[in-house]
Amino acid sequence: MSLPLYTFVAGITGVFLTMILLQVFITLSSKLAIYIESKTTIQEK
Amino acid sequence: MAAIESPMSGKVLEILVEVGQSIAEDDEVIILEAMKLENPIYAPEGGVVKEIKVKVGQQISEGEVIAELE
Amino acid sequence: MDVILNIWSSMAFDSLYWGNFVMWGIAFLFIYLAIKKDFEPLLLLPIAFGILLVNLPSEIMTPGEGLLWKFYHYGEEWAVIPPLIFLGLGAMTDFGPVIANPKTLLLGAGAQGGVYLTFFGALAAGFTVYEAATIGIIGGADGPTTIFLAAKLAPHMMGVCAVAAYSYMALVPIIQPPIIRVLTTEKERKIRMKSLRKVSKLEKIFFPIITCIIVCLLVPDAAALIGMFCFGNLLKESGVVDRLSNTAQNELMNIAVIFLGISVGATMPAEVFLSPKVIYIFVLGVVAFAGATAIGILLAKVMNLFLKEKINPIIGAAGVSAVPMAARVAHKIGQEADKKNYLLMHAMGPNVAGVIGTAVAAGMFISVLK
Repeated sequence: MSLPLYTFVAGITGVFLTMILLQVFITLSSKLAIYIESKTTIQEK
Repeated sequence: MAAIESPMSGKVLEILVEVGQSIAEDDEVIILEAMKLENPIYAPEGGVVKEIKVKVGQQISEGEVIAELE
Repeated sequence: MDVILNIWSSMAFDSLYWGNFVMWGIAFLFIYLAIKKDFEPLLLLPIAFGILLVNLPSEIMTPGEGLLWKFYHYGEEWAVIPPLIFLGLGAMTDFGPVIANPKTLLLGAGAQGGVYLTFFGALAAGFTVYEAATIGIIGGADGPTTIFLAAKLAPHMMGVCAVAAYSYMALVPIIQPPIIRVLTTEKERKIRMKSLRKVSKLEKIFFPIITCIIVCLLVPDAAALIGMFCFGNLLKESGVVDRLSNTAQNELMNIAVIFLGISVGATMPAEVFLSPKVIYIFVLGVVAFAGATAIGILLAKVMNLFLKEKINPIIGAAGVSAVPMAARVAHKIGQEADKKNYLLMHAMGPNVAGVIGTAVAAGMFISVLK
């Protein structure tokens, strides 16, 4: 595979893979954050 | 009676209606500043302005009531 | 008689040639655009002045000695200043819209398509891989990232690419609307998006930490930019270091921008700038911005095929991370179709996600090409 083509494939794969993983983990962390917050409010009640 | 809620957050720059004024749907109600952009906010329905709940210079968030109509 | 000759030769006039006068003209043009037309003045004014200074023959840019050379060397060649600007940017950015709708991260990725389109275009125009990557990243619409990548891959392109990037960022309100209108139907432009949910403080604290870990592990060559970006963001969102956050957003940013601008300008003496290649770069720059806009919109439309709650494809154009210009453009076009459609905050999602996307794209170029 030529260098430019390789650069392109690696680049676009890297960008999308990173953003997808980021999306997954951010969604998970939001769920975690919401869970933690709901637990503390229940405790306060 | 209906409430006009703000569709976005921003700082109130100008209030374009008065209590007692009769307005129609799509009339400009206030101007909000967000992201250095002036945004006119339009009435979702018509009616007579009963109360204006925000002041010029106030920072409001999405969903906050701007005014009440009857 | 000798005295007069000596005095004359100590002046700079002998070293001037026609190219310098052209560059003065360009510097004056940028100064005019910055002051009178408000064209990205924070960067363009220092850059313009750097161009002027370097075209007044002196030792100011002599390697090892010149003042501007030292700014350039320690700031850019050593790639210190762009990450510092990212530190400030992170401290200014609100990721709420992204956290509330994480799908927008994909739109931030999509707009990078413009980068690769331009990359191939530049290769076709005869540039080397390193130069093509640097020209391509202009499509990321991110000044510091462009400068950072140029420093690593093609330092001689830094000035031109930076100027192209900032010029086109200022032209986003002109470049984007026609493309958005052509690629979307009136009905699509009227799509209302559900209100963004409120994002809690804890979520906003998790975001920079998680982003930093994931991006730095996957793309270590983007660590300098993304690391500083997330650091700045955490300073802001933690709520306990407002002094630091304020300094990062204000004093630090301003200092970094001053040094960045003038040293980038100083990389453009006439000999470097006045070559036909520069015209290619400016043409490719438009391709970059236009392509990124188009691909962002198209990706949004593709995503809509799989989504129950549709995205308004206009915000795909905001993946071009000229913050907040592209978001404002998206908002205005949305209002043209439906006065009561307030897309601004929705468009901010892809807009800031695009900053991450561009930094990742730059990191990938570095990891492959270095």
